[in-house]
Amino acid sequence: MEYSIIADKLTKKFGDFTADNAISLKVKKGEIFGILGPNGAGKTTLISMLTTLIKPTSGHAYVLGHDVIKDALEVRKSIGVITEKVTMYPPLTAEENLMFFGRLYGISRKELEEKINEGLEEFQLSKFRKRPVGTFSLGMKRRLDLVRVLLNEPKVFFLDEPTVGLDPITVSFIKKKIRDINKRGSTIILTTHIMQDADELSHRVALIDHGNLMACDTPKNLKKKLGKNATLENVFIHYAGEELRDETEKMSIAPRRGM
Amino acid sequence: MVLKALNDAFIVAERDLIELYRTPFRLVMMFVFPVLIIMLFGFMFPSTSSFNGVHIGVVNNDSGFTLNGQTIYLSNSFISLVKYNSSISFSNYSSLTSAESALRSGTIDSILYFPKNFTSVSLSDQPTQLKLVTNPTSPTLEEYIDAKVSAASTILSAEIVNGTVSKLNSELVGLPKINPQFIISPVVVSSLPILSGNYFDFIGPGLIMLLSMMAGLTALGSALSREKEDGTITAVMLSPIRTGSFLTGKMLSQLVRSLIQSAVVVILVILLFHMSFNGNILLTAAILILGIFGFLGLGLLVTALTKDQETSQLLLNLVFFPMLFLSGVLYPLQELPAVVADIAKFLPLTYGVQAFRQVVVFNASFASVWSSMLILFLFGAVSLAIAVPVFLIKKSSGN
Repeated sequence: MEYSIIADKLTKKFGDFTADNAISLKVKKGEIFGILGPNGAGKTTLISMLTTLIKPTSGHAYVLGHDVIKDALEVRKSIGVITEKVTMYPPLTAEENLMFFGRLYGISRKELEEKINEGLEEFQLSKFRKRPVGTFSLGMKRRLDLVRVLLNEPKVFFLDEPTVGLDPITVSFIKKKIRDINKRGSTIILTTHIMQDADELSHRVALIDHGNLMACDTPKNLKKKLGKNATLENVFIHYAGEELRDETEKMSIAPRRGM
Repeated sequence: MVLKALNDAFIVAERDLIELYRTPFRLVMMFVFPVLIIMLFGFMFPSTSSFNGVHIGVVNNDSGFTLNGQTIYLSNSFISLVKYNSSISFSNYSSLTSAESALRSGTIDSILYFPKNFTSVSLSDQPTQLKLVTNPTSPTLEEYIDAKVSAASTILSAEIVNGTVSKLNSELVGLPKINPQFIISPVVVSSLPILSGNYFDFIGPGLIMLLSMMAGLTALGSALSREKEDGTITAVMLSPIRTGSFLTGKMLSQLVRSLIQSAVVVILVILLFHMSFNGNILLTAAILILGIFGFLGLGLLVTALTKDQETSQLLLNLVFFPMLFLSGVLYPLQELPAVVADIAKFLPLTYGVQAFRQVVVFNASFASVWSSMLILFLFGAVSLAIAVPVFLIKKSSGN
């Protein structure tokens, strides 16, 4: 199959609030696909549906050919998700956390030990393997999160604000790793508010606002439409407008960043 | 598929227990709370012999009786009899008014009032009367003082009757002698306890089952809330694990920790409060497990229906308090008004407490308690059958 992800009129409603309205998009295999939009635009709800966390109200979506509703377990086996909030058990050591999540993927202990050693080495965390994650800095936690999602060798990655709150050195390190993962043939869905990251990393970006897909193209083409010196930020404001987005009561029931 | 589901449940349970081991504060608190509850109740509801610091005010107007130049005071003998069988202390007051004022201010716990002719009337073959003024706002203390004073009264009465009957017998010539015991108490009741025990044999098993219920009610709720707050539930739900396996794993770990907790409490109540333990260990453990299992579903349902831990805690209190007072934990069901006793029959904890008490104290067999165990099991199974789908719907709808 040519596409890693196909969303067909994907809709999610919370009561009478429509978080995502008939969103259709296709993400090619091996692509880094950025999803941009202001706060409350419906990005996290879209990711939550694609990663099987919540069921769509209507429409369909497929990840590597697996239906996100009917084959949820198959979808989960083939994806890796990093949320804005680091999702590790603070009292457990780095090794114990990785062992726990790895075992849930049915990986044998021996194979898991090898993968953990390699992963910790690659992300320069080997000497902290016996330390509780609660004592880690945000940058260390983020790197450990990447080791975690790589354990089951997923073909599709969902990265929700992977660089937010990190120092420039770690940001650079994480961005390099995202490119490395992509070079290995994996598809990456990236949601971010940092336009520079989206511009640098994404092959294509989708702009979502008020639950609607406003535009979907390469950053280069999107910028070109606005003029010679346009930036991705100009594109963002062009589609989303300059009005500040305060969360309404209805929006508050939809999933938040960090899921 | 079943093997994978079971294996996943064990992985989740194992992780939970490792986390518990890694968090010493939570580990300590797991024991502190039940121990505190047991201690509080143990000292709040003591057996009658453990009253200390009881103080009676005496208004003694007894003028005594003079015989052969020697004045005797039966009031003094009476006070000695009360002292002999208790640790009650006495202080004298000049008038009933001043003693009543001391009783109202809490300086003393009761008043013994001896009238002027207390001794003279007693020894002149007429019944005499002394007054015991009590404080009805403290029923257990009132009952204790009343019992001690009544016991002294019985002994003194017997002495007087003995003296009177002996005098009478000496005057009856050629007639059958009168047995003073017949005059004092023609019908004697012998109370034969089925085993040697104390009040904690009643309250101890009740409290242990109550703690099991609390563990069942709050276990899943607090564990899931913590996972939600840390965001770890999202990471777990994004891995190929069924929600059923995740919940089963959570329940398994809660069962293990609650059983350890209960074992510690059982040992504590045996050592500190001398609760009898005559039951079969396996049957005891089975009832404890059912006691926890029986309330897991209800706890999960409350967690699924509430947005935060605070709201769920408030709702759980609505379950906890009626069960505490109506399920025969602290008082026998026979002591409750008929309507309330009928309500108690619909509370699952009633059956848990009943079964646990019968097994632990009276060594009842499975045949005697199976129906209570079945009720606990059914309550747990039905509440889980409702709670799990509600949890799944809430989760998948994103609410």
